[in-house]
Order: sequence, then structure tokens, then C-alpha cells
Amino acid sequence: MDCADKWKRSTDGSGGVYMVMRRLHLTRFISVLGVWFFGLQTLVGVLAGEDDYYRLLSVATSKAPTESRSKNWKPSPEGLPLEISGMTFLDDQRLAVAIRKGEIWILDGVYDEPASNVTYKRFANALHEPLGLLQHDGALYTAQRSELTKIRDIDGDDVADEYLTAAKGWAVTGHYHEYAFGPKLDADGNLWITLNIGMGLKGDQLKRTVPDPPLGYRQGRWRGWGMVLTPKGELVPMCAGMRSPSGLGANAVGDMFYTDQQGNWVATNSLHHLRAGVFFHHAESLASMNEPGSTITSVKQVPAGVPLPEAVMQFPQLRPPAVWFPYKRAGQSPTDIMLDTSDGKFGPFSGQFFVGEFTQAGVNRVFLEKVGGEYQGACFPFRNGFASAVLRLAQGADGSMFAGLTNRGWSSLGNASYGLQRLVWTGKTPFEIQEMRATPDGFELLFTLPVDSESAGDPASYAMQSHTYLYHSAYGSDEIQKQDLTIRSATVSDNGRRVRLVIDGLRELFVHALDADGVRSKAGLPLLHPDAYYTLNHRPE
Amino acid sequence: MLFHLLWRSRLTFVFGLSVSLTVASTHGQEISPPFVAGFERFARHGDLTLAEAGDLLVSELSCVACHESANSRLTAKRGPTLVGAANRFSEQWLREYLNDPSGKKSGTTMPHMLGHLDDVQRQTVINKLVSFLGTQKKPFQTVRATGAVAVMHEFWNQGNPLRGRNLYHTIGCVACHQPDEKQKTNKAAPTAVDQMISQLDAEELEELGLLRAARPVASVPHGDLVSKYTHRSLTMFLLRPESVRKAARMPNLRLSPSEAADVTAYLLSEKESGASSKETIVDPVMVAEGKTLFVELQCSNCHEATGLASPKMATPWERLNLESEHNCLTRPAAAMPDYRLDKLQIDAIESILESDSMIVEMDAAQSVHSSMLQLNCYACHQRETELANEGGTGVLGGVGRYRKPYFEMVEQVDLGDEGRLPPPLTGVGSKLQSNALKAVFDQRTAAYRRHMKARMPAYHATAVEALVENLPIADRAGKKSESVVFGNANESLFRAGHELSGTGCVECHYYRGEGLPGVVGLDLAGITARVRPEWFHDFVLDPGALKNRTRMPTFFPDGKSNRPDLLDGDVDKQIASLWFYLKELANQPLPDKIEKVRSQNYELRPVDRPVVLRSFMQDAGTHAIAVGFPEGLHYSYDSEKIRLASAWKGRFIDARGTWFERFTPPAEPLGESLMRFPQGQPFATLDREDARWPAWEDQAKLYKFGGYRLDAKGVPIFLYQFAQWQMEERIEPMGQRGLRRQWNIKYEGIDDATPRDESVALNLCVHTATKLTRNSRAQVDGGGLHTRLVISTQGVNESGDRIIQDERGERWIVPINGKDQQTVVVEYTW
Repeated sequence: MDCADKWKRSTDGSGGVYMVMRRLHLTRFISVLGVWFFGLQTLVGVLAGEDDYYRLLSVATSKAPTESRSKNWKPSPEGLPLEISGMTFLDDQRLAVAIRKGEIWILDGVYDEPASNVTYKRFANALHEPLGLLQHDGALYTAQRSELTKIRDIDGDDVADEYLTAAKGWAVTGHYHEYAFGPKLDADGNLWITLNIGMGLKGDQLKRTVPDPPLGYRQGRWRGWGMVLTPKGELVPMCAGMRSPSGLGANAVGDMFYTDQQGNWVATNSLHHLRAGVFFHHAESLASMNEPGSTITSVKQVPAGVPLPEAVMQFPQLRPPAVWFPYKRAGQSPTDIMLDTSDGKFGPFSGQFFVGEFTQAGVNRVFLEKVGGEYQGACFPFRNGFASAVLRLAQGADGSMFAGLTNRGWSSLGNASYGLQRLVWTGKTPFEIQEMRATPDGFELLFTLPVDSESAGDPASYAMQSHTYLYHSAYGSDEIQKQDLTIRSATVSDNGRRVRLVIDGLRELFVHALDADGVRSKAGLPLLHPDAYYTLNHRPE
Repeated sequence: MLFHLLWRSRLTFVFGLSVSLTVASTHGQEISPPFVAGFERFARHGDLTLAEAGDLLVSELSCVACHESANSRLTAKRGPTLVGAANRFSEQWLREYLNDPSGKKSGTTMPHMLGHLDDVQRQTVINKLVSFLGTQKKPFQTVRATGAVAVMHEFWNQGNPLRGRNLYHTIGCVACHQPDEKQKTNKAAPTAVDQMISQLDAEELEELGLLRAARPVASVPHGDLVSKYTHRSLTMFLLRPESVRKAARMPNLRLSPSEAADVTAYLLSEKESGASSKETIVDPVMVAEGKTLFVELQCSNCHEATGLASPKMATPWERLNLESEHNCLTRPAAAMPDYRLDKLQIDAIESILESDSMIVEMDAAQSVHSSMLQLNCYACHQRETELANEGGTGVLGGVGRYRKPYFEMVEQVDLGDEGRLPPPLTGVGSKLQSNALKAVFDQRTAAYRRHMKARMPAYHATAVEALVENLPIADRAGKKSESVVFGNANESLFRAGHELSGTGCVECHYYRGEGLPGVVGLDLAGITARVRPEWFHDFVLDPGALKNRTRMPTFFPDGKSNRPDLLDGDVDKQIASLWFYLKELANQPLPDKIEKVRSQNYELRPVDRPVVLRSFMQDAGTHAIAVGFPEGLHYSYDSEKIRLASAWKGRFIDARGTWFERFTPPAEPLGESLMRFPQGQPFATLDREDARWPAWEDQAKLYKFGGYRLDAKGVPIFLYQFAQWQMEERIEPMGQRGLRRQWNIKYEGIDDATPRDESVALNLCVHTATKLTRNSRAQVDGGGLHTRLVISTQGVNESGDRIIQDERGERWIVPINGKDQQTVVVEYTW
């Protein structure tokens, strides 16, 4: 196959423009550009990059003098340690942020360009590593390590004086990994909280675990569970099997989702639909199976060391994720979930999810559909180059995306240790795969722009490989049972926005990785991101 | 000879035109002799004896890879492994390189093997070799991504040339390779010596012995990276050069995957377009012939490849005869390697061949010198070396002239050259302990001089084995043990070391990650596992004597201590005290000045209003709420078991661990007079008047913690439900005396469900070991805690309080009756 290098533009941390090169199929490209030079196929010209479509602006970023994993970690001596762990807009102007040291600040002026006059006002303090923030019911809600707290100012001085316990009751053994995330609100008025599993508990920590647990797992009560605080004020356990559920988000109809991070029992990063009675991955959460209120019962044995499709058969409560994020290819550590409710103000992806990415300091995108009554869908790379690990996302009134950054404790790309950045759509539509839907015999792609029918109608412009994972207690899983699939045909719709692919050898419960590198838009542009990863749990009838 | 060379170069040019437009022309340029950094820098200027220069060339040109020698002094660098060559190099580059090695890569140490062939023959041979090398495929290693290492999808394509350019010019690449003059450097003031050099003429320089320092240093050529590598193959090479070049002449710069991609993006920024990489049709006959030729042409003597026959050796070294008709130094015959050596290089190698002394093993100092020349340690490091030519010692090496501006400190702080240039290595063998010396080269060892942007490269242990072994011998490292040098540790030495550290060391040094503002010096944690005791003693006593122009001052002018009050002013004991204090640093208090700064940043000091911190605490558990007061009296509250857990006086608490430490250590009270309150919940339902106090676990369900509200003074009022009562609990200090604890109790049950009398009680005091002592009706002492009932809605004397006995000891309780709002106030003093 003839190849050449293509140019892309992107941004470095300081905002400069640089170029990176990528392989691309050239035959068609050559015909588009008509370049032929002394027997060498050469591409001239500079193609647009992520930066041309989504501009990254810094509201405030700082670099700590110590390394992100240092035991002696210290914030920059200048300014507020803006390690953003929760974000909620109070109105069209003011943004409330929770920071990891345990405070809530109210920021104004974050929309300014440049954001040089941002004001900061401390609203609350003395919170134990709050990892979420939601304005709800006239108060700010945040999950601390030991409780969900409702915070209000009652004397009108814009400083909180009520820190009411909205919900508590999960165990906190004292292990650092037992983070509590949330809350976020679903369609039924429930506030969702997700609870990290502990890891390798020791000493006094073990004294705080569930006594006499089923299957012998040593974990504190409700660790690895998703909980809701109902509108009536009851804390109810809903679903289990979470490892490190750092992101929550509801879709347009108010169904709640969470992201999980690769590790023990978790093959790779994932996105799940939260419902009562389902189990996701991490077996040690079953320590709470027999606790009053548990929605998971009578698991006698957890399959281990088997491919996921088999595990699903052996373990009825185990539900595969709606989306797997193939490791490295679609991030290394997903975080927050942001629903684009801007109705086009943030580009062509209204109604879709954006998922923060910690280690690679970026954001990925997710399209979901319901097949066989269950959510499934595809993820796509969206934007990288943030100044630090993206932990929190929130959409501003103008549709722009605010990203709360902090990489302490782990590591990330980018030059900063923490801060706040903003991603603004330039108004120019990127050529992307907007939607990827399963069909009985393949997939249907919706593109953001009309395609060049010659390239998009050529099956050789596409490649697909499928794989699944091992379900086991070890840390992560390789992609297994890989298979290259044959693209039978590619049919372009009349309006040029849709392409129907007929593909041989589709397998349920496998990730189908599409590389549409050969497709060109009507204007001759290659896809900004040619890769898409569809988690095909069910094939439509 | 000259004619011969010129003729050859013209041939190449003509050939290049005829074959491909893109072959780099050698027209008009001198044929470049092999570039060996140490030879160029030192031998060409008479800093090495002919024999030293010859030794260096013999190893760098890999003579004994073909001319086997029993002499262990003679080693061969050899070339990169060619397993994986098919993935690493472009075919076009391979062709051009084989066609004319030094024409394609100026200064290459690979000899031309095909010079004797005519164009057609040569093309045939190249076709076969390239066909064979096309079979040398090896998948690139997968770079593992972890929470600590970000690995983007196809990260080798994601590099940023601006960042790469900065890395290239700051981490040390330009110690050897050519910097870009347009690269901005921080305008560090040139050192006094450099300033002087720029103002002196050659004669004066010579007089002052500065000629060597004034010489610009030639750059190690890169060759045509753009045509040779893909982004992926260069990135992977930069990430792990040792995996393909075992001799480590290009060392591992400890790049992260994204950094390697950045440097690649910079180095290949000219790579605007790529030739189409067509799948070559593999002709098995050509491959087989190429494989035979690979051995026949003695490529395999230096390059590893798979499936080869044994290498073909040439005349053994000891039997080489300079007078013979052909030799590869001056008169290469057909099929002999042609190195294109210049006169001096030939002389140097001949001197080794002619010398009888080559039988003699090198001593340790010579071996160190030899290793440093081969590995080009001298590109960065100075070292005092025996200069046989000059009949004495002299300082060789160090970052070359005009390259120093690229060496920077991490922050714009001026520590002089010492803070930005790699350290001189004179005497380093007597400074570092053997394990520490070894660790310097280990990729896993964290950077020691964190203030320096230049990185000490990592080397595979085998590449530096001789250096690690010989440095201590060459530098006559002291073998005295710690106890011989310093005696034995004791408490008074720790205290004195702590005190002495505060008098000067802290102005420049970090102590286990903590330091004074603006300080950028080395961290002294771990120093006693790094340097030898004798060196520590001598260096602390008089730093300048061991390290020229160091900024480290002496604290013992004229060998006397300026702290005669400590350890009787005994200098040796004072140095010993520093050693032992630093050795135990993990368990010793930080120097006072550092501790003060640290606590200013992280110690919570209530000034006007109370300060709250939620954390994990030893006494208050994992739902702890600590409250500090300006009065200097503080308490911790367990919001899980709803109890006052402890109280203390003096300083409040350090919040750093809670705020900024991933592993969430429990927050420790800083003050004194810590009072731990007995376990157990404040309220309980009792079945009978004399019933035992129920266990928390049995009554936990009756409690619901509701958080807290701050009152106008900022004092938290804890809110919780117990059975049918709503409790508000407020605790605040009474000056320095103790705590005042107040409950406002409100019945919130359903009206017609009247609570039973006597059914609920408040526990005021319990002591598990001793009996409670009742001084008056309203005051009870136990375990040093004095508890006084001050207010009870029923009246203190009519409150119905009593002492009950349970298995934990005696307990003072007050009954809570009825539906009326009630208030109870208790005072604790201790």
C-alpha cells in the first residue's frame, strides 16, 4: 500500500503551533492534490489540526516545584493550589470549584480572553479530599472521603456556615485509594456517588472491613459500589464492581453513567450505565453482597482468567461496559463525563459525552446508542495537549468546555501540575466520525461533513480489527482474540454524510476498532481522527 | 594517496547522479576521516600520547573484531546490531550508506568495504546486502504505559519539535552534538575563566595553561537522520539506544516516551515528506547471497544479524605486518576495509602495532582515562589526568567552549557553573561509595542534582563495568569504615548535628525534600549512603581543598569550629555529629529554620476564629474533625462514632499530609498535654437504672450524624440525631483551662409516643482503670480528667446524675428525660 506522511497541526503547552506527521494512505490523496515529483510521491501542504477546531485557553495553570508523585509534594508558592476536583456553574458567570486540599472557591471572570482578571473567593473549607461538586437544591453538594456534604451559606456573607451531612454510611478504612466521587443528579432526582475500592488493606484498615465477608474479600462496606441519595434522603446501594470510578455523568434523558480505570479486574478503561442490581468488574466489592440493602445476591463464584464473553455467560450479574476505551489508543485513565448540552455551541457533537483523560492530559468523545435495550457505542479521540491531567469537566453557558486539572499522585503529560483550562470551538467543523452505529451486518458512520464519495465508497479506505479482553484479577488485560475483519462494501448515502459498511465476522462482546484513514471529505480533508472503537455487546436484529 | 581519495570521491559523485537524485553528494568536500570524539578533542592537540591515541582508535574502529588479539587491553567497540535493521533504517539510506559510508555519514567509524568494486559490481553487492538486511525485521518494543508513564497512541508521531528543540539544547545532547546557534540560552554570566579566555591571545593562553580550555570542541556528526530514520525508529532509538548499540557511545538520556518523540520531531523537522515505502519483493536468492556476503565482507564481525555463519577473521593482531604489501591502514587491498584514516590516525595505530608495551596491562588510572575517552565522559566532565606527554597531570575535558551557555539550572537561580555544569570527576572514586558510583549509571536512579537541566545519562552496567571498578582504585579511595572515621553514634551527636545543620547547611541544602524558600541546593537525605566517610570528613572540614571553586564554604576556618559551645568545639566530633544526624535524618527533626518555614506553610494556626480540618486521625479515626482555637486549646471529634476523641494544648495541627499527600497519613496533633477521652458514645438507652452502658455497635443505629453548623464565632455546632432526640453539641475552650461542652437536646419524636422515663442517659465521664473520685455532687475526677457538671436544665443537684458500674469501669451519667428542651453543660480540665 502506498503511504506517505501527512502533516497535522496541533498546539504545544505554550500555545505555539507545531506539526506532527502521520501515516496516511496516499494514493487518493495524490489524486486530490495532484502532486507527483520525480517518482516520489510527495505531499505538500499543511492540514489543519485539533487546534484549528478547538482552541485551548488557560484560565490558570501552575507548576509545582516537586514531582507529581513526590511524597513531599508542594504546590507552587504562588497563588491558590487550584487542583480542581469538582466544578459546577452557579450561574452564567460564576464557576464554583472544589480543590483537592479541601476547599470550595467561587471564580468569576473565567470567560475573559485572556482570563487575566479572574477573582477567587473562598466559599468553604475543611473538606476531606472532596471529589465532586454540584449545585442542587439551593446548596453545594460534594462527596468527601467519609460523607456526602450539603454546604450552604445561611447568613448571606457568601461564606459557607453549614456543612450538613447529606449521606454517610460507607466504610472508610483509612486506605488512600478509597476515594468517594460525586454527586451527580439523574432523571429521578437521585444524587449518585461512586466509591473506590481499597487496595491491599493493612493493620487497622482491616478492622474496618465487612466482618465475615462472602467469598473472603476484605473490603470496607460499600467499597466498589455506586450509591444514590434518593430525594427522600435515603442512601441506597445500587450496583457493584467498581474499581476507581472517578467520573459520573448523566446523558440527555438522565440515565447515569460512570467511567472506570484499568487495574485489577478491570481489563481496560470503560464507561458503564449505572442501574440497580448490576455488577461491573471488581470482585472485591462483593464483600458487601450480604449487607442489608445489597442489590446483588447469591454470587457463588466469580469466574477468573476467562475471556470476557465467557465471563458474561458464567456470571449473570456481570454486565459488560457500554464502551471500552482501548488502552493507550483511547487514553490511559478516564475521568469526568460531560454531556454536551450546548445545542451546537460546542460544535457538531451535541448530546454526546466527553470524557476527561488523566495521564494523557486530554479528552475523548463517546457516542452511545441503545441496542437490545442496553447502551453501547463508540469512543473517539477528541483533543489532547491540555496542560495537565484532566480530572473534571464542565460546560459553560457559552458551550465552551472547562477542564479542571491536577496530576498529583500520578503523572500526566503537560507542563503544569494543576489549574483550569477552557476549550472553545472555533466555529469551524472538524471532519470527524460523528456517530458510529451498529447495523445487523456492519456499522453505519455519520460524518460531520459530506464525504468524498470515491474514497468513502471504497472499502479499502477502511480497516477493522476486533478484540476482547480477559476477565481476571490481574492488573489490566491485553487485547486478546484479535481478528482482522473484511470490509465487504462501503455505501455512501445520498446526502454524503452517511456511510454504511458491510463487514464480515462481527463478534458480540468484542471491541471493533475502525481505522478510516482513507476517507476524505468532499473538500479533500482526511479525518482529524480516523480511529473509532465500537463496543459491540449486541448486534441489532 | 590524496589523489586516490579525490578520485574516489569523484567517482561517488558521478555514481550518485546516475543512480538517484537524492544521494548526498560528496563533491567538493574533503573525505572525512573517522570521527572519534576523544581523538579529535585531545589527540589532535597533543593531549594524548600516540599510544593513548592509538588505543582509543583501535577500540573505536574495532580493529580486533577482525584481527583477533589475546591482549585484553585491546577491545572493539563494534557496530550496532542489525537485527531489526529492516524496521529501523530506510532502504534508500542503507543503499547510500553502503555505497559510501563516510560520504553519507561524515566521520563514520564504519569502513568502506566496497570501494574496490566498480559501479555495477558495487550495486549488485549492495542489492544483495540490502535484500538480506530487509529480512532483519524485529518488531519495535512495546512501551508500557502506566499511571507514571503516559504513552500516547503512536506517540512517536505526537512529538512537539519546539519542546524537542528545548530538550536537545538543555539536557546534554549538545555536549557532543552540534547546537543550533539560534537557540536561545539563558544568558548566564560567563565564568571568570571564560571571560579571561576571550580576552587573551594564544601566547598568553599557553602561558596560563588555558589553551585546552580555549579550544572549541568539534561536534559528533549526526549524519543524515532525515533519510535514515522514521519518526518511530528514531524515537525508539532515543528511548533505548543501548538496545541496539551496546557499546553505549550514544548513551541513554533518560527520556520519557513523549520526550523521545519530541526530540525526534525536532531532529526530523526537515522530514517534510516521505518516500513511498513500497513492499520490496523478497528474492530468496538475493537474500541468501546477501547473507553470505554479510559474512564474507566481514560485516558480521561488528554487526549482529540473525542466521549467520561464523565471522571470518583476518590476520591475528599480533601477526600483523606493517611492511606487507597491503594493509587496511595505508594500502587497503581489494575487500579490505577502507577507513580513510588521516596521517595522525595512521601514526597512532601504527604506534600500537609497533609497540612492545602493548602487552602491559593498563593500571587503574589508565583504564579510567581510556574508558572516559571511549565513552566520551570528557564531553561533560573534567578530570585531572596523568598527561604522559607533558610529564605531569592536567585537567582534561568538561563542557567545551561555546557550549556552556546551553547548560542551565532548572530555576533562574545563580549557583555559578557548579549549579549548571556536570561535576568535575577528579577524585570522584574516593568520594562515592562503590554502590553509589554504580547507581549513578543505573536508569532507575533518580536525578541527584535536580537543579541542573543536564541529565546524567544511563548506561548498561557492562558498558561502565571497568569505570566503576577502576575509579576507586585510581583515586585511592579510603577504606576506613564509618566507626573508624567518626566513632559511634549517640544522642548528643544527633542533637549537635541537628543544631549545626541549622547554622549554615540549611542556607543551601534541602533536608528530605524540605528547604528554605529560594534554596535550590542538593538534598542531604541519603548523603551518608552516597559518599565515603573519609571524604565527607575532609570535604566538610575544607570544601575548597577537595573541590576547586566550590560555593560550599568552610565552617571550620583554620580548622577551628565557630561553634565552640557544641561538643566542646571538637571539630572531628562536630563533623561526626553532622554525619550521624544526616544518617538518621528520616527519624530526626528537621533543622529548626526549615521546620519553621514548613510549619508556616502547613501548620494551621487559629488566629481570630476557630479552624477546622477534616482528616484521618489516630484517636478520632477516619471520620475525624479537628477543631483548633485561638486560645491554644484544640480537640478532635470522631464523626463516625460521634464522640469527643481527644484534646490538646499549644500548637494545633499540621495539614500538609491531609492537603497534599496521596497516601493520606493521619494528621497528628502538634501540641502537648494530649487528653484522650474514653471510648463510647455520649448517649445511650438504658433498660434499667443500673444497667450496663451499651456498646457502640449495639446502638450505632440510633445515631445519625448530621454535620455541623458554624455559629457566629465560627465554633462548630455538631448536629446529630439520637433515637428521638435532636442533639446540638458545642465544644469550646475556657481560656487555657479546659473545654466547655454543651448539649442542647430537643425531643423530636412523635407526640403520642412518650419516651419512657429514665430511659436515656448522657455519659459525662468514664474511666476504665481507676475508680472515679467524686469531689462534690458536680465534679468527678478520673485518669487526670476533671469533669464538672455546670448546667443541667433540671438543676445540677437535681439532675439525677449517678455513677454506674460496667465492665469498662465506672461511669458518671446524667439521665435525659421527657420532651422538654434541655441543656447540659460540662467542663473538662486536665
